[in-house]
Amino acid sequence: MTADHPLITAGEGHTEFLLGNEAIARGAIEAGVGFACGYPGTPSTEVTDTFARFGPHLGIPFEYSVNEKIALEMAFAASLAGARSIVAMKHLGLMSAGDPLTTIPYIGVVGGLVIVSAGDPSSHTSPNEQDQRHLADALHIPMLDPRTPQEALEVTRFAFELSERARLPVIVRPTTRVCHTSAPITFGPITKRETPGFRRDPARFLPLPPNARRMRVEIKDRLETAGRMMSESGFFGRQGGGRTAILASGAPTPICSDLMSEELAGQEIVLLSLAVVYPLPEDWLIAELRQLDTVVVVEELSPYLEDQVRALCSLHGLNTKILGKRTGHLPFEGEYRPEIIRTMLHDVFGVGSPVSRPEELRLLPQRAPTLCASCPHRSTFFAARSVFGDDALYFNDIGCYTLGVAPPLKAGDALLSMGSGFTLAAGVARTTGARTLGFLGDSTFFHSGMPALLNAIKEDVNMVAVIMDNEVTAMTGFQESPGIELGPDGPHRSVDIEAIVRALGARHVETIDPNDLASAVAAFERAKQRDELSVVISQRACPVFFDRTVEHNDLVSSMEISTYAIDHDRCQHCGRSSCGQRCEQGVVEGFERAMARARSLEIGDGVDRPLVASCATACPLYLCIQGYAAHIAAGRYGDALELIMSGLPLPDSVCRVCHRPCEAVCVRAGVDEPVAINDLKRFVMDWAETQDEFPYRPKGEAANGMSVAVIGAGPAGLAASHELAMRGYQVRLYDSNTEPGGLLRSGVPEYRLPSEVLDRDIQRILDLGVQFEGERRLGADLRLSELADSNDAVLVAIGGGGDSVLNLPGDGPEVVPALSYLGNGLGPARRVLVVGGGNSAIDSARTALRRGASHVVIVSLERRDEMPAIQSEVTAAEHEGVEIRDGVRVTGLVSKGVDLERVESTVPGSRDPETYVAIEGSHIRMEIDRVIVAIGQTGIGSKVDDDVVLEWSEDVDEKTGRTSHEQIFAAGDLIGGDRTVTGAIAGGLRAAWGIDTHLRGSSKADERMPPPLVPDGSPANREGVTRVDIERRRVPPELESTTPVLGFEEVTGTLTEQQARAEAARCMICGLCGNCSACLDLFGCPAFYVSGGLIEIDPTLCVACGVCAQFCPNDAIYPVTSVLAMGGPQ
Amino acid sequence: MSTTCNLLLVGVGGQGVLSTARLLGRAATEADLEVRVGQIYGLSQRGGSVEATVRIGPVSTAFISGAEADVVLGLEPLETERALPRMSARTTVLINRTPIVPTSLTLDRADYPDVESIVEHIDSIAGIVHVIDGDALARLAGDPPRLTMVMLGALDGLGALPIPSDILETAVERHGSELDSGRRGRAFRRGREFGESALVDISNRQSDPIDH
Repeated sequence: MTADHPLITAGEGHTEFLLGNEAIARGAIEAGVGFACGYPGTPSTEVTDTFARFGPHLGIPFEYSVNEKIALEMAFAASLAGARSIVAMKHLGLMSAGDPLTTIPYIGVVGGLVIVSAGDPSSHTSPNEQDQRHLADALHIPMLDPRTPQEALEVTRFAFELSERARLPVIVRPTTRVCHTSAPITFGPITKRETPGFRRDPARFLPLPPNARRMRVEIKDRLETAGRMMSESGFFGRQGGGRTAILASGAPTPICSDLMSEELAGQEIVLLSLAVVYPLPEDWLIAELRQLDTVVVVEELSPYLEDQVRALCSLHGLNTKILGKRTGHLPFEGEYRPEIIRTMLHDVFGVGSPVSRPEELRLLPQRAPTLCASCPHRSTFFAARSVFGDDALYFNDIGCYTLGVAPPLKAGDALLSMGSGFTLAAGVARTTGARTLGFLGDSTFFHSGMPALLNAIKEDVNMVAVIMDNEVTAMTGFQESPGIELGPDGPHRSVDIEAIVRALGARHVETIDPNDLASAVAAFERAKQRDELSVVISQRACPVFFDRTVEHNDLVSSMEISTYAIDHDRCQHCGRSSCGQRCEQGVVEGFERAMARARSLEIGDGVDRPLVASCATACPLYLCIQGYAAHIAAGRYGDALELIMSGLPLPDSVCRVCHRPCEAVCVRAGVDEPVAINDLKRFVMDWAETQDEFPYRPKGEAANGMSVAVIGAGPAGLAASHELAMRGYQVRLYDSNTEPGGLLRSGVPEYRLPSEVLDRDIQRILDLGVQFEGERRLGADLRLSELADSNDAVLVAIGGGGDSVLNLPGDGPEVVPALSYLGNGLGPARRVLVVGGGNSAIDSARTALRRGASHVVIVSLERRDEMPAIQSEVTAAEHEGVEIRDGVRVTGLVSKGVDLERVESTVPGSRDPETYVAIEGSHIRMEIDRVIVAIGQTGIGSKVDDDVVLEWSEDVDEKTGRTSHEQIFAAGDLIGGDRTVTGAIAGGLRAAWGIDTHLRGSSKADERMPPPLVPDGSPANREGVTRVDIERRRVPPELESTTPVLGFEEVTGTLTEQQARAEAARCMICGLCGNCSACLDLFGCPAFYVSGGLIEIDPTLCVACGVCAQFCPNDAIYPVTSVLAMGGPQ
Repeated sequence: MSTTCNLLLVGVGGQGVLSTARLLGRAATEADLEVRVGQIYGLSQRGGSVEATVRIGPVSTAFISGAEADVVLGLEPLETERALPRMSARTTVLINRTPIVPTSLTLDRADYPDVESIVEHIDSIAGIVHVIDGDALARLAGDPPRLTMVMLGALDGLGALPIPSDILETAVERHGSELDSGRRGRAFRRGREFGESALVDISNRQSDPIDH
């Protein structure tokens, strides 16, 4: 087919339907061109593509050169060797070749040299619409601007003659409308020329200063020759007659010519037009102008010809009236469509009718070009943005990837020219220290990215240089580049980009497959952590090109993934499905990005994501932990605060004292270590405290006129009061102590929970209008029956029954229950033994040290690493000097001491004391002055007020706090539960809801759902899931004591912002989330669309690259396999 | 009545607008007709709005000026409506009914406009409007489907083109790889059947007084 194509075989008189650019190539072939080269650039590319296709059959050497400068030099070298040569590029490319271009006219050519530089008025496919015509005069280069595709052939053939005879290079400058218009083209004869070879001529070929000065003078003669030839060329002419003329130059000519037989038919108007730009056929012009009263110059872009005509008229004393751009009759900018010329004709000559538009037009959604479905550039931008977010600056370059500047990828803060992705990123980083990324493609890297990268390496710029190697020059229609050779049997890799980058001196270089999202994100993560220039080479072949080079007609009949689809049950798009976690937040980009990033880094499949993450399920408060982690990772601390405080009324206290059931079930523990969830919460609370105005205002309901009495101002009572006030109730809160706080005040030592922090929490509750009365005791000056009469409901939350008692035989040191010990000011004892392995034991031991004990020992049944206490607390206690004796039980008291024995459990890891048996012969006696028993609390059994008797632990519904008395509710340790602070708070919230349900009905009460009861059994286990990044958790600092002696100042500090964001980014976000449209907001694949509020994937556009399925935070994108049985040739 | 036939081809980058326009140009040249085919490409290949013009007759420019399209071949409904300013009562429009949702709508979470309303809009300005399920007909002719060949066949069946039917069919079969030639021909003929029966429908309707 190719070898006998008429374009290269047909002779004179044959007519073939061709593009303007193909006609140019044919013109060169007719002229006997011996060498062709160029650099692809729309709208010039088909000129060079024609040689790439037919060159081998014609024996014409062709190359896509590395850049335009090199291309021009190659073509010039061929000319020096006597060959006729052609080099093609777009208008911008000619500027890139500026250096040799300016000197070639001095030296002159041997074989004809034709430079095709295609212009692009209206910037259809270019960043500017520069007018190259001015270069002709400035650089002494003859130029032709063909009016039609047929003429494109003719001027090219002529340009070789002109070039050789005038010994100057000639520029053929078609514009988009000529390049990309196809028409039947009539051929001339093909001539063959031999290449004579290079003949030495130093005086001519060495433009050293004396030679250069001589050459400059010689140019005058050459231009005279050129001028003469142009005048005789016939590439100008007239149509019609009259004293008024249109003078058209180049591409607008055919429009005017059509108008001559339409609007202008029968008018006394002459159409003059020309394809010659420089040197102008002045004699012809003067002769024509002399016969005219008025001439309108019609040319695109600058008034180049108009000014020449003005100068000629002035020089020759002509009074012809000249209209055009300078007179405001035609625009300086853009391509001239027929409408523009018709409007001008109507305005100037009163011909035709003004151009009107139909009225019934409605505004239609725009359809901008976009990166194709499955484009690897999209994955690269997505991965980079997942890591760098909006904190970094992104510099883009010229290529398909320019489309990445559009939403949602938005990977382009600035764009300039070939290779500038790297230089702009380097320049901004050098001058500001900002984090910058530069992006360019393989072909652009070779074109001018290499020196740009070398420059950045030389200056040691801290930036990320991303080379997106899709193995082909895709934008301009799949041309080869130094990285890829397009042979007859398909593409072959040639130059190794990574080797070049390393040879340039880059130290940190990674090559990634952008469609392996986990590795890609991890690579960008490593680049981010560097303090020096990193290069990421993102390598994956353009699938569209691949598609075109693979033969599709073979019979395919295997199981293949053919497309992807959305599982609408898992896609929680726009909060359709409620997880019940009191979230009223919308979809925000940074949050989605943090979620998608977390999911991208996860490896492993086949494991269901639960609706609610394990941590939240284990949390008595059902807090959306993954939500605030994602917000923190994204730097959105205000949103994190909102998520925390909308579900947790005592956040400052809880972030210090929580027993962290969430961390115990954290899926991340299976990868490395659990996420430091409570420390993240603490970070947010501490951040909020440093803001000028506290950034969270609860949105409570208006007063509903009803009142509730709450007895007991511990965690449960405080939480219930907060919640009831939020629901619009008037709350009266009573406590037997002077100050509210309950066990938070008396049972948690000051060094863990400073009282001013607790006060902060309580004040927020009192600020809601809760009235507190201290020193009021149930059964003494408070009566349930009276409270029930004077309020709509009563909540009893007076706490548990106090410490569990350990009956130790024998007489010996005093035995103090832990809560009593922590709550009173009991003075120092020298040697203290604490019995128990929980947090209360640790608190007691550390408090004993602070009260002056010289030796504190904790004895625990459980092994050290199985103690129920928070492990970091155990470590901190040891650090302070507490001795831990694990696997030990107290058996009795003796004078000034205790008897102990070693034990082990028959059920490994059990916390049930019954399962522990003594190890024979392990008796120990220890000298002790005081024993503190910290083995938990008892339930209260029944508590009796004089007029209402209730069996608290049995008669109370845990879900609602309802008792057998319809107006009386109960919550907290009083009714059992897990006896933790968060458990008590959750109970308070549930009781408030129970009260509200009772008083206002469930439809109203359910607008604010309380946390559900923590289910029995272990939460969803995601064994087998892991992450690309293995990272230890961040540990908050121990605070320096201000005094030499151990005091009661707070001991644990907070994470730094950087630590907190990095720690939050460890969260694997393993639950589903409704605030997610990550596929639409971050990825922007054109196969996605929205229909009836649901996200869908168009199976005709999806080509199953599967990248979206790798990051979907809800794991809602699944592959659809099908048996493809494509028909073969039939 | 102009001796020129102005064809406007519109669609989405990747659907084959440009190559179809060139096919028509080749066929017209084959039929010894003067023809100009205009197109802009580069960025428009990548899923953006694309249009090409084919002017068959004694003209110099490939531009279709104002509302002077005689035939509009719409490969996608929204893109066809976008071409409304080029249509008038003299225009015959053939619309492929399958939408391709532009990403701008997806980013705004907006639904694609109702296809019926698009057709009504076009119908209110253009002379004759035909809606075709080109994708379905193309699938019937073989996989992968050749939508543009169905559409050309339909235009041929409607008698909307000044190119002789046999020359056009030969051009269709020669357009692209030889292996695929049979499938292209089948798709073209499926389209032509549609066009011919649509033409019969119109003449029946016009001869039926109740319809007026």
